[in-house]
Amino acid sequence: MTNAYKIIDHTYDVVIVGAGGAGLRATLGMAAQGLSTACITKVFPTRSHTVAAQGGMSASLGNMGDDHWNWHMYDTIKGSDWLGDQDAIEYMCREAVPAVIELEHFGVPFSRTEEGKIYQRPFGGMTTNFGEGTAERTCAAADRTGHAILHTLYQQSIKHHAEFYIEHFAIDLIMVDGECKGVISLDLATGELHRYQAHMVVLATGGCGRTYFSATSAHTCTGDGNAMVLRAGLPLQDMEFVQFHPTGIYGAGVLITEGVRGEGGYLTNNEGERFMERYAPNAKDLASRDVVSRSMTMEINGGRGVGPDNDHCFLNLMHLGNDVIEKRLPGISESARIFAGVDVNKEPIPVLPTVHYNMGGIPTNYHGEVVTLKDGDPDTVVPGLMAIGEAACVSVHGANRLGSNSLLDIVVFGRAAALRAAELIKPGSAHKPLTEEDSAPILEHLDRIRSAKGSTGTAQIRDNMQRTMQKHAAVFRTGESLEEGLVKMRDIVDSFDDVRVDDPNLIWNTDLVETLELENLLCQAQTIIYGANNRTESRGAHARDDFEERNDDTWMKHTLAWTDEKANVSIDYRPVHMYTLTDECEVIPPKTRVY
Amino acid sequence: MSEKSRLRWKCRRGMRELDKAMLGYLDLYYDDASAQERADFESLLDWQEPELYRLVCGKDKDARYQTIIDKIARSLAGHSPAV
Repeated sequence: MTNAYKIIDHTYDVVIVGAGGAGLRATLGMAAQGLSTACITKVFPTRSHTVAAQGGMSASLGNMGDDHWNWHMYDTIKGSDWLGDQDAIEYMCREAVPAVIELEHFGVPFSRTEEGKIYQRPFGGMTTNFGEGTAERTCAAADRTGHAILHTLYQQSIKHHAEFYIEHFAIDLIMVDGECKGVISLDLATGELHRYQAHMVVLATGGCGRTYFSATSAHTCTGDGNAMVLRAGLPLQDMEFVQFHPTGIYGAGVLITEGVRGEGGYLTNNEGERFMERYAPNAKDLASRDVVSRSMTMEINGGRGVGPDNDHCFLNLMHLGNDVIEKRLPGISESARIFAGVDVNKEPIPVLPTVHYNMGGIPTNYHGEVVTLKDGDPDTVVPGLMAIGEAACVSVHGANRLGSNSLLDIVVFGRAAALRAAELIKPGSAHKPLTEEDSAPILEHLDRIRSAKGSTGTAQIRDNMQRTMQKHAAVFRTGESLEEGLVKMRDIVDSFDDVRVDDPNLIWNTDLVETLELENLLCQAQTIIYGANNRTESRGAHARDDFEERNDDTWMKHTLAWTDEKANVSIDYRPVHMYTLTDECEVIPPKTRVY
Repeated sequence: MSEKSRLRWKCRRGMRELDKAMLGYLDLYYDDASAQERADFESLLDWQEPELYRLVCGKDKDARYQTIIDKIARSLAGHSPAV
């Protein structure tokens, strides 16, 4: 059967999968150090989801006033609700400064102060002097920071002779005796398979927002690297921690900024009631993201949602008047008009808490090397494999990520992976030949999906999964609802055995690719909902109504989740690193997280 | 089949907003469009995300693409809440 495929073989020192900010930063860094470098990406690099990051990137440059990476470290640990690894957080916050300066030298056009320094602005959760003041720490390139970073890093990578395989879908890792030896991709334009042998494969494949019905993620965010890791018999970490934004447009998933509520916009249920007054009598609609998201979900679960299915809420701006809306909330009336078909002067915007970011992912150390729990050692490095960016769980975000720490994460750890690869790999060193058996399971797997002749379409199964995850594993979690969700997810996973791929052709077969992506999403969804049911506490983005408190005695540990071939999940744990890299900072001991 | 499929993949954008916009047009209007309009749509797919978004939102105008942008707006305004 496998002879039916034309396979094109390559050898490189390193292969990066994914060309978002993390993948491109690693690609550039590795190529610049003389390693032969290939980057495989399913969409054109500047169309990676990093482009949607408009807010900015944190670094304690101190251009606008006093700042110190110790303070940034404190904020990040507190934001993580003490699930973040303090050695990795120290590394990120300390290296933020050179990482931003390097980006500036590469050509990212950061906004400037009058004196010509990089302009910095305040962002939620970013403070000075360990929580006392407001830090101005976030660097931006106008409202297109993500695009500027992608564009610059792509140009620099080309300049350093990195080779790009664009519109290639990575199928699976080539694993030999527990070591990663390479990866196989499908060239979507030609239908040919490419086999890359490399001393290091770097997964920079992003998050898996599409496991849920309502997500701000682009369609491309299917967490393919995470799923490859699961199929390689390795665990994912802390997948139950999923960040929600309260006001995504119902159906479209497009974000409506918090600024709308800041200017006096408010949420209502199907009785027209301003329900936030009940849940947060003081802050009301301006309570924190997790509180508002939970309150909205309680209204919906209580049968008081709006719409034919009572499954969302309304965000009202009508009372503000056109002048306020146009002056203080630029772009909102256009977004609402285009994506909800709503005139904000006359009607409310239908909204729903919307998946925004995966804190969990592939466990790594702060060099980007993938680690696993093996023979009692929770920091066992998996040879030949790295992960960076949203795909990875270093863990610098712990249970909850702060705004502007994600662009920082991708750049710092893309760079760290490149530095580490240069230490580990001698450019041009020989590869031990692969055998055909090494890639046979991958080709058989592809063949099985390609020839699937069941009765259920990919879109139907995906819809079932997304609705089930949205209902049972979203913002507001209870054991009872999660158990129900687990039963439904079991059926949905099993229904994939009956999936149908209409066309066995390999050229531009989006049906086939979407089916492979669906398979990837299903095993990740399982790790999310299983981990959420397993973790009987509330911490950061994971809020259990039946276990309302954080429980450090039992749960100050990372969840590891493995899946078998039927996507059954098994769980173990890694300790949280409660130590720092140097004595230039102190361990921050856990306390109650109050803002 | 594979031509439409190729375009479908080009409609994979970096932003959710643009996924919805470009797929909306492809699914509802592309098949019935004139050869010129189809060519215009394909050239739009090569735009960078920030510029394309400004065009879709009506913040920037370009007469060449106005018919397509109007159709995108129609496809989104009347959209059912599919993901």
